[in-house]
Amino acid sequence: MRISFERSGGFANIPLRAEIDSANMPPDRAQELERLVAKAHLFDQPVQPQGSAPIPDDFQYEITIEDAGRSHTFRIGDATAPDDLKLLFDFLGEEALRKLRHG
Amino acid sequence: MCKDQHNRICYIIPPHVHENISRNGNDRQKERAYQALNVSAHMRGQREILNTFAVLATTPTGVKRRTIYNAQNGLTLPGKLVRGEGAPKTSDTSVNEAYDGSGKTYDFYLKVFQRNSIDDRGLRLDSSVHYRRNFNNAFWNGQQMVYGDGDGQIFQRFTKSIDVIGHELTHGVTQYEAGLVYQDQPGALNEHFSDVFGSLVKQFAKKQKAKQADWLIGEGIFAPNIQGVALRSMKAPGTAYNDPVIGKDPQPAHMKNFVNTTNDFGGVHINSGIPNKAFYELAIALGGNAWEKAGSIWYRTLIDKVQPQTQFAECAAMTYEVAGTLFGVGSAEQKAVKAAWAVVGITVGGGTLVAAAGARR
Repeated sequence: MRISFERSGGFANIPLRAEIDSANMPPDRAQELERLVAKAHLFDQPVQPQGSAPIPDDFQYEITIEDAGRSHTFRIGDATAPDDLKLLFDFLGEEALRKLRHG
Repeated sequence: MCKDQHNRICYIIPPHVHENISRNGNDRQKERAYQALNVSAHMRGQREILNTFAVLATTPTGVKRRTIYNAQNGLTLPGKLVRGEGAPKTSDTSVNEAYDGSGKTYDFYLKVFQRNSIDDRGLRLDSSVHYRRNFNNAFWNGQQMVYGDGDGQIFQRFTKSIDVIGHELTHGVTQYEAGLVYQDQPGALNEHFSDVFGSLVKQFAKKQKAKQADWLIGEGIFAPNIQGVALRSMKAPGTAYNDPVIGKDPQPAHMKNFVNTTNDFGGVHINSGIPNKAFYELAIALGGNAWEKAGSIWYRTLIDKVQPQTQFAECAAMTYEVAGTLFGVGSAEQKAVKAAWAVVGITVGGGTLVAAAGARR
């Protein structure tokens, strides 16, 4: 499973980007990623944020998931995202920062 | 919690009872009734319910009401109530900083602009700290302030800097007044007003004159190993940080460097550097306390003139017009406003711009 993760906005607006591949992760982290992705229903997310007005200083995400020959890209704000997505975003943010610091 | 899915309004005490108490009860009862209305509306996210009762629930000017919650590193807002108005200090630094910072912001708006809280009706200032784990952000969610602890690698806790607190609360003021859309130039102006009043809250609290102030936003919230003094500099946009891990401050200080992007709602935290620099130039040119002259011009512009779709050039024309009203047409102050915008490449005082801004209203 591959996830392209891009975060912008937030009070600090420090952009964060990473390509995250479960094949290159330690088994326990890969398992945790699979579990979070399954709970967050990534392939069912609408392509653009729905309804509500933007929230000041909210994080913005652009996510592309590729898994088992399927691919899906969507954009969403953090504050209005369902809890299961927020938990996944926190995990992906942590991974992206780890990659940024350690290459 | 309410389990009845068919009855959308579901209180322990019916809302009309709270409404009656908030009209007829004694002060203590009024406060409780208002809080119940507020909390119920809050839980359902129904802003319009709050507005219905807002007139009834007005709190007298000068009566601060702060409530600090601990989200306990979870996702649920607001979380556990940990400090109400007048309650003593706790052992939790974030709680105390959120309490003190929202208090100083309330005092600033009251003493400088005679504004009674975010909505000018004494709205209770709710803040949640310890939101999620290692959360590198702070935001205003339309109803309350939310602060993360930072991850300790890039950021420390977001309550550490008082201008961050003033910035977040000002998003509330803008929401109630100008209603600036959070996208592109109107969004960058929304950010700009939050940076201006966030910085002025700090300057007022520290009793600093314009030339003594650091004009930094988020000073001291970077983790110690990050190479940067703050998140943004109003004095010198683009120079706040330059670090191998997080990159360089991307803010422009002039229209010729305006950044076109789809990220960050169209660069709202990037292009805000342009009006930020103009405000700094004005404050320095006028001298003294920045909140007195420059702050008044900007406050009256935000309250009386700015519209949801206002663009940079229109906003500049509005500040020029307001400076003329407050200090006289052709006054030194009005000329200084024009000169400050010229520094960032925005021309004001021409008939076209004023006419265009006027046509919107």
